[in-house]
Amino acid sequence: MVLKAFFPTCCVSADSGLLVGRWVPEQSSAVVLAVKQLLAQVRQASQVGVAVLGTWCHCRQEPEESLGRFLEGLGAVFLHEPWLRLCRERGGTFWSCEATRRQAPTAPGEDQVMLVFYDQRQVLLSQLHPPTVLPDCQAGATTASTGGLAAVFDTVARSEVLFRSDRFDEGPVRLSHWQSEGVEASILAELAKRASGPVCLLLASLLSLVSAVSACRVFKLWPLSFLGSKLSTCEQLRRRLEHLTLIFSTRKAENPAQLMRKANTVVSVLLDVALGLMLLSWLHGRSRIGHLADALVPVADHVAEELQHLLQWLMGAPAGLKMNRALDQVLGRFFLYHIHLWISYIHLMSPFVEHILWHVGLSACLGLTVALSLLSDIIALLTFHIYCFYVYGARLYCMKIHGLSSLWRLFRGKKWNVLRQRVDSCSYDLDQLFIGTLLFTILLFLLPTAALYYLVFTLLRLLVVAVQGLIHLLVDLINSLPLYSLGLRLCRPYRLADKPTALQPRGANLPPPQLWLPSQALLGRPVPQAVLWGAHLPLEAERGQAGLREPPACLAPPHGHGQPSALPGWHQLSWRVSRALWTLLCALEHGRPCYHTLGLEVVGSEQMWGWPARLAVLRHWHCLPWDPLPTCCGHHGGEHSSPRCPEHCPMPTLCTQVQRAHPPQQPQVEGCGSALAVGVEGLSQDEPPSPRHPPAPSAEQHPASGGLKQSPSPSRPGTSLPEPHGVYLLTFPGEVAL
Amino acid sequence: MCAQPVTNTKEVKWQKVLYERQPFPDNYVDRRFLEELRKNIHARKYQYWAVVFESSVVIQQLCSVCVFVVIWWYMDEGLLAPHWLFGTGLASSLIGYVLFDLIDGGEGRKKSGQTRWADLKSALVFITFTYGFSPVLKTLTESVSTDTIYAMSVFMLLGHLIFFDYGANAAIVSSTLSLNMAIFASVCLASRLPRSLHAFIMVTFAIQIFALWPMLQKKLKACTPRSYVGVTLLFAFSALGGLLSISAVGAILFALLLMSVSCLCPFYLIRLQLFKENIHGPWDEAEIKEDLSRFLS
Repeated sequence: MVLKAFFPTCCVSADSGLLVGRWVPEQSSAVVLAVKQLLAQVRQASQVGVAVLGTWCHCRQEPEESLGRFLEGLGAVFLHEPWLRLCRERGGTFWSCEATRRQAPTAPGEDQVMLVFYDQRQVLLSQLHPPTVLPDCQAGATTASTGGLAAVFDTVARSEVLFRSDRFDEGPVRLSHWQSEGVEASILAELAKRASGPVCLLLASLLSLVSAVSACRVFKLWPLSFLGSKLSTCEQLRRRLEHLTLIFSTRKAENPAQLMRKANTVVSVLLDVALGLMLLSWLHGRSRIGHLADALVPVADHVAEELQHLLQWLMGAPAGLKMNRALDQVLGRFFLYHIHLWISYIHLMSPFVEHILWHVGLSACLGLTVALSLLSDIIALLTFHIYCFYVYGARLYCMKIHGLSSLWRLFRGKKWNVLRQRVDSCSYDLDQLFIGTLLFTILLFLLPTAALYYLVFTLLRLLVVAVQGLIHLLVDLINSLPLYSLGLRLCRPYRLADKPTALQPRGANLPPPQLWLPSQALLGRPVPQAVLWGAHLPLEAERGQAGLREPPACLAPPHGHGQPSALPGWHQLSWRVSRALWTLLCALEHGRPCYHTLGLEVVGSEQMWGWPARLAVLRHWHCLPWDPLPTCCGHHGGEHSSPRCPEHCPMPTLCTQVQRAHPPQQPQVEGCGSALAVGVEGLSQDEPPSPRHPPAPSAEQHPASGGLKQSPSPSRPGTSLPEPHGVYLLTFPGEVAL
Repeated sequence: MCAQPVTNTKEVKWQKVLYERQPFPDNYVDRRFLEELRKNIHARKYQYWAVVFESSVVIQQLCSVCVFVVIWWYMDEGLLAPHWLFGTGLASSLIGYVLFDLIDGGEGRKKSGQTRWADLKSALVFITFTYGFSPVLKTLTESVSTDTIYAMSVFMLLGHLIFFDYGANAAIVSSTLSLNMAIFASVCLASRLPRSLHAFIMVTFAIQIFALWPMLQKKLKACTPRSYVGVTLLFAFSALGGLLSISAVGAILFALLLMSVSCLCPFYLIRLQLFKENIHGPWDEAEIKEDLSRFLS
């Protein structure tokens, strides 16, 4: 299995020292947690079995021979298997990573090293997925779980104490962490925390009192319960009560998902009340209520008049239809009388409308949703005549259709057999036949009239229902929009990290993962520069398993992956918003929280793209925090499409390699055939790269990286590193990443 | 030794079996091969006048439709007073009812178990419903075009003639559907009449002529064939006369239709019997029962 070394990005600027971390044998990965400069006592600050994994060498000046030798000798002291040696030279222009083993590798691919940078702070803050696996059962759990990186992330997450307690200059133990972000504490927050307990208790008891009253037996009686189920205001009040109970419950949230739900509810309630107060202040200022009340009665009158006109049109010959005149007149007069009743009712109510509206307006202080629900109920009450018309028309039409269908069976001499659920033939009496046919004829000729009335009143009812539906949609939106999560997704996306599923251990017969670089057109700038700006580099690890080789450029535009994140200003903001929305949609579709992993972001699942594996994107690959940030030389005058000239662009270089020692007594031998500084191997060794690993994304396939020259060969990959031209982000035999 | 099998073959009689080896060539056909063939076993010898007599059912039904249309025409034109038609219809119904029992001496009534009370109830239901719905019927098709109504009525009456139970044993026959179509047509036509009383009497008349009259005919034909012939002739001539008073061309055409149905069609039926070749024999007809679809694919 490929040896994976996980290296926190916050440690890249640390001075030389020892790599402290944990060795995960199942995943064959070394998780570096910190770099210790002075080896005092490595305290077991966390429950993780921390060990010294190797050495870290950051040569700021000319490499000191003594330090290098001392670091080499430490391998014999600590006896870790394998022994890692990470080296960064002269301000990070290039890197080396060596893993030394005492035994020869047994499995194929064991002689390969993958150096993965990760952001320790963001792993710690990925609060949706805290460590749940205990150390003793970890081995079984990780092998059972599909997420191969779970153990790694778990380790990092549980070493929180180590991360938090360390300062740059702190006694004899000097750790590399120097930033204190993430620990945010202020007096106000502390005070709020202290005060929230009693307040919550008080409010929770009040709420329980209210819910006990609402659960009283009186409200379960027939008319009240019926009204309660029909009025949307009651529904909304009930829902708000549940929300408040959830917020002020004194029980601690069991898992981060519940905490997130609570936070979402709090934000939505706050927003709701704020909007409601705005509405209240708008309504009650400048006697707007009076104007509204004055306008409301004429509007209702106008609606009734329009309905009268409509009925009169229906009583004529509407649209030249052949209606039965007698039935038409009867129905029309019936409905006209209804409208007459309605108008007199409205006029009876008109003196009180203003008071009613004033009191209704007060309900907005409970929240905008309550006011909207009240509005919906008022609309329902004001259009009650339309509802009645609809019910009459629908009932008449339904009766006609049912009668016609059964009489049509009688007409054919058949009947519906209830027992066998089928149509049987039947011999009717003469008088049955006669009356049935008579009724059939009458119903058939009266059907168009009833159907027309039904159609018109159904359309009217649909109009009212559509208005009410819009209001309810708004209410539901305010009720259930996860605003807090959305805000987190926009500003702190790593807090919503899921368990990583990409980069799973792969079978031996599969080609190794490789970096796929998006084309220049997609990035908007040449690749080397884009890498420095922090572009997103999709890691084509999983798609390699399926044997798919086409670049995912076709899928990048719809949701914007592969675009440079370093686009300035609103560009980046809009891109982030669209991505957040996309993630929200996906999460809704798959019924799980935002699928955003730390460092590795799962772009799409197989359901979405039809591909058998997921695609991973190195999300926070900020190409290492180079100091100072190297820029492209002015040699080309900003013309970046031309091949990069290696002489004038000192780009950071990273080469990873594994050194294997054949006799176990001599750990440090010269780099033999398994030196992995790719791009140089083919030149230093006689044989070409193994045919099992095709030299995939090389110059011809990716125009962006096309111009890159391969670095000249070093004589000894272990000691003298290759020339500092080109960025080796991730290297494997036979593959040039950049 | 060589002559022995030859003499044996002369003696051996040919058998119509395949499971025994016989000393005959493959294409040998014996004289007795088709001796069991029979032709036209079930073919019936028709008597001309018997066929003419049977065809009178069709004549009767054609004449019923004709009489109904003629009466409707008279009512629509206002030439026939509805009271007069109602009186005539009532009287003829009563006479028919008495005749219906007298013909077979009440045997049919005993067999079916139909009481007079049930008859009275049916009659009351007819009268009440028709009278109650007649105003509705009057205004039912006001807004519908007259041509549509005519087309619908013609369609329904044709359907009535097609589906009527003439005594044949066929799948298409459905006396229920036939009667319902006739009633539908009568309701459609009645809704065109000037007043609701007209509509009521028209529908009553339709019941009498389409539902009650065929029942009486059937009994007459079964018990007293001679009187049935007389009644049929009388009915046909009255229908012709009624049609003649409306249109001479129609009457002539209708008379030709009646003649062809009653005389020409039986004649052709008997002539065509001569060309019948229906073979029977002690063989099984080849019948493929297997599902052949697997060979087709």
